[in-house]
Amino acid sequence: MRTLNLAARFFIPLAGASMIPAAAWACPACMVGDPKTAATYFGMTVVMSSLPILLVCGLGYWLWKRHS
Amino acid sequence: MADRAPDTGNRLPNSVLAMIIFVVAEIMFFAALMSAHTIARATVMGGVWPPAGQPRLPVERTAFNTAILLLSGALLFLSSRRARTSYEKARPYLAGAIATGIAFVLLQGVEWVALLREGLTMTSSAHGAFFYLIVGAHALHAVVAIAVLTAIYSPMRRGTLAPSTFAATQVFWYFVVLLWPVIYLRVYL
Repeated sequence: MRTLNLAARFFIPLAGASMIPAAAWACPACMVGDPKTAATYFGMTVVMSSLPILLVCGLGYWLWKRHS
Repeated sequence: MADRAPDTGNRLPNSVLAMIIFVVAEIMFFAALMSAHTIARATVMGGVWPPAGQPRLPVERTAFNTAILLLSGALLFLSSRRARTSYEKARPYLAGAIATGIAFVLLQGVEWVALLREGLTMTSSAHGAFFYLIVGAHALHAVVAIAVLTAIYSPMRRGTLAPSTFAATQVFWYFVVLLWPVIYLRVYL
């Protein structure tokens, strides 16, 4: 019963709060300036996230093709 | 004396694979620098790059220098093609690749001296800091690659150069050569 109260008081509201759609306040610079700046941040995030995956997968595919 | 590079078949030498993995890490290093540069460029006040009051980079002279570096890459490629039949025939092309590589670094040095005289330093602005960091990191890689190319020249002349060593060196030089046009397009233009 006590466990349920704890969950009701803290974790359920916390989970609910995390679902509120809002800007990424954790990044102090992302939303500063004009939308072009935000687009640059977004673009660079996509590039820097996808580049290592593409490089490793590309190398793996090349090795597989070479030895199959 | 071995006059011809031994045939290694379709097997990928360990040294070449290790160099490719190293180059992948290097690509991420330069991607991080270019990403930071792109964001700094986008967030600059007034949207003008280089910022007002900062020296303009020598676009035309560097375009010529870019052609020299690409020629160096082409000469190394021709050297590798000739090495399949004879190291003797491959040697002049390797010497040409080294000479054009040295010319690229020297012309970069001349450009740096001119920009320093115009007041562009690491601490003068974000423009200067990014320029010297990105171009300097590339120049450092070019110097190391030229040193390695020079180091393999004598074994090639003696006919004792291992084909895997030559192939690994090529991978690194092609990386240095092909990275430069990307840097030129992002930093200079």
